[in-house]
Amino acid sequence: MNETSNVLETRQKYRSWMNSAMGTGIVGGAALLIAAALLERDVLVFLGVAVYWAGMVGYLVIKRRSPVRTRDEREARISQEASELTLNVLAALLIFSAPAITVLETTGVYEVSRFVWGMVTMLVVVAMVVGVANWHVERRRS
Amino acid sequence: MNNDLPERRDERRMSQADLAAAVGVSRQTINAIERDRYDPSLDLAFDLAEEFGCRIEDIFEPSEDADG
Repeated sequence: MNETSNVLETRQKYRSWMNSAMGTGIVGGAALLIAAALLERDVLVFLGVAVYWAGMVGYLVIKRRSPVRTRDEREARISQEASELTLNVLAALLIFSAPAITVLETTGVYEVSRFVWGMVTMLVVVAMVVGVANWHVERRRS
Repeated sequence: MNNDLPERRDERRMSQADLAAAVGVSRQTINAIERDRYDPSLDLAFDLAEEFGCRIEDIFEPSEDADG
């Protein structure tokens, strides 16, 4: 067996483990939450959340421990472009919604709900995280 | 980038899956490169050239609508 076949097989094996960990976390967590509702046992709610978290942590640990990249370069590029597209949509939402709701609120034309303010605040936080991440990556690449 | 990977594969009677396994990427990635839907990284381009025993520029050439 040559080296590249090993890379593909290892990638497939680790991805399978990652997906199993995530699947177990989601299905196990959901099952325990349903059981908690049916049996009215609070302990099952905590257990459900713990199983869900364990699945997500397991996914990340397996990904981290993989000796090969778990996605090939085209898959990584697809993910990168999808992220950029998502950020552009969020940026457009922030740019247009923040001044609009501020004007509506201050003029009293419309009372903006706390939910909408929460959404806009979250968009601001995302923009700040993007700025810090950009600075961090630029430092690593310079 | 235009490329002649399909012709080179045919000469060697290789499938996309064979070539993908030889250079350590998915079959979909090879398919996307052949259809000019994805430009490979320099590393992958070197691996493909090595696989066919030639230089990168023997396989790839810039598309007419490429920048620069």
